[in-house]
Amino acid sequence: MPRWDNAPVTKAALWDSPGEHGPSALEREWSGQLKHAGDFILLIAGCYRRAECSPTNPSWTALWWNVSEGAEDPSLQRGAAASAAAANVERLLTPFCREVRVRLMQELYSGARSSDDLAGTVGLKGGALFSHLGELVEAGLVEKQSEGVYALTNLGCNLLLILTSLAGVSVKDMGTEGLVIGGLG
Amino acid sequence: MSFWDRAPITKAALGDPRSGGRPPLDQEWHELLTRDQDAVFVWAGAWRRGKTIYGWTWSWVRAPGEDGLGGEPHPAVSASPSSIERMLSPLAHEARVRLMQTMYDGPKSAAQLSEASGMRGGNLYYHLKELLHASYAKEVEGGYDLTPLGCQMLLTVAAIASKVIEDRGDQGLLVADRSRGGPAPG
Repeated sequence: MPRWDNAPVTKAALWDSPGEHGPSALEREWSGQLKHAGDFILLIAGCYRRAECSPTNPSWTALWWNVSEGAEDPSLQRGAAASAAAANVERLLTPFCREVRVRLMQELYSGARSSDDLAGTVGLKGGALFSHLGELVEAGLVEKQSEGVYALTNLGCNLLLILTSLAGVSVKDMGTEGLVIGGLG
Repeated sequence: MSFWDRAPITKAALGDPRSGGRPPLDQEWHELLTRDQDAVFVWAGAWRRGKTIYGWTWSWVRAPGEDGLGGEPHPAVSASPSSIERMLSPLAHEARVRLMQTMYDGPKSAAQLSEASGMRGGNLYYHLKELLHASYAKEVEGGYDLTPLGCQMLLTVAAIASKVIEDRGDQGLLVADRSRGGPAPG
């Protein structure tokens, strides 16, 4: 893909696969690593630009990875799958488990909006609207900028991007073997 | 020899955490976004279960202006809220996450699940059914097991939760020295 010719690191790590749908170079390397040590490696990374940021100032980047125990480097933490507090997972996901709250966040992705605006777009008014906005503010996903004006926080933006992206893959693939790419191991 | 020395591609892409500095992927993406792209997202991982190793890489990139030209819409804005609810609801429940964690290292009988979770009878089966229905768990001989999709989702949401919840109050998901907010350096 020509657009990756400008991105040699990305191309080498993610798009250098033997076939069109083969595992990426990173994935092949990680499979090899897991034969020796550790039980999982996970990378969730993204970078995006939002309307209100000038073109030379991308708004945010986060690179997230985790390597499980077994790796010798003490700075690498043990995998969270088996040890994360289950209650925290519930806390993280609950705000996203209501259609209307996701729609509110999607509206805010393109920039701060007034509650009157939001009311018109999502078809909710008064107490119902403020109750959902309140939940999102409480969860740290949305902030009130001034009287009646709401905006996504960095956390809200990041999580919206991550979780909507996961939904794009997982929901489509449900009912099959999930998202596993064969031919490894 | 550390993981980073044995993993040259990872090191080239993510940098060496011991040396600090900006990860090469991160730098490259900032440049891409400055020039012509609008968002880049990567979700990749590998995990081992017994002797089997699973792995996946999933990514998208979106150029600006694609909306108007009939290109792919931005996932953050266009994803169906009901799909998100469908995907996350089974996971947004403490008891079900605990059931999944119990099955993480291998299949478990109903009795073992009951003991580990403290749930019994109808209550236990209600939550198991939710997981089966979502394809996050499956019935196997003598009990229940996570599906590969279930494993992958558990890994992902547990990892995010352990960071986000810990880091609440500051910049959210911006994790330790591996990420940063604000404008790219000139």
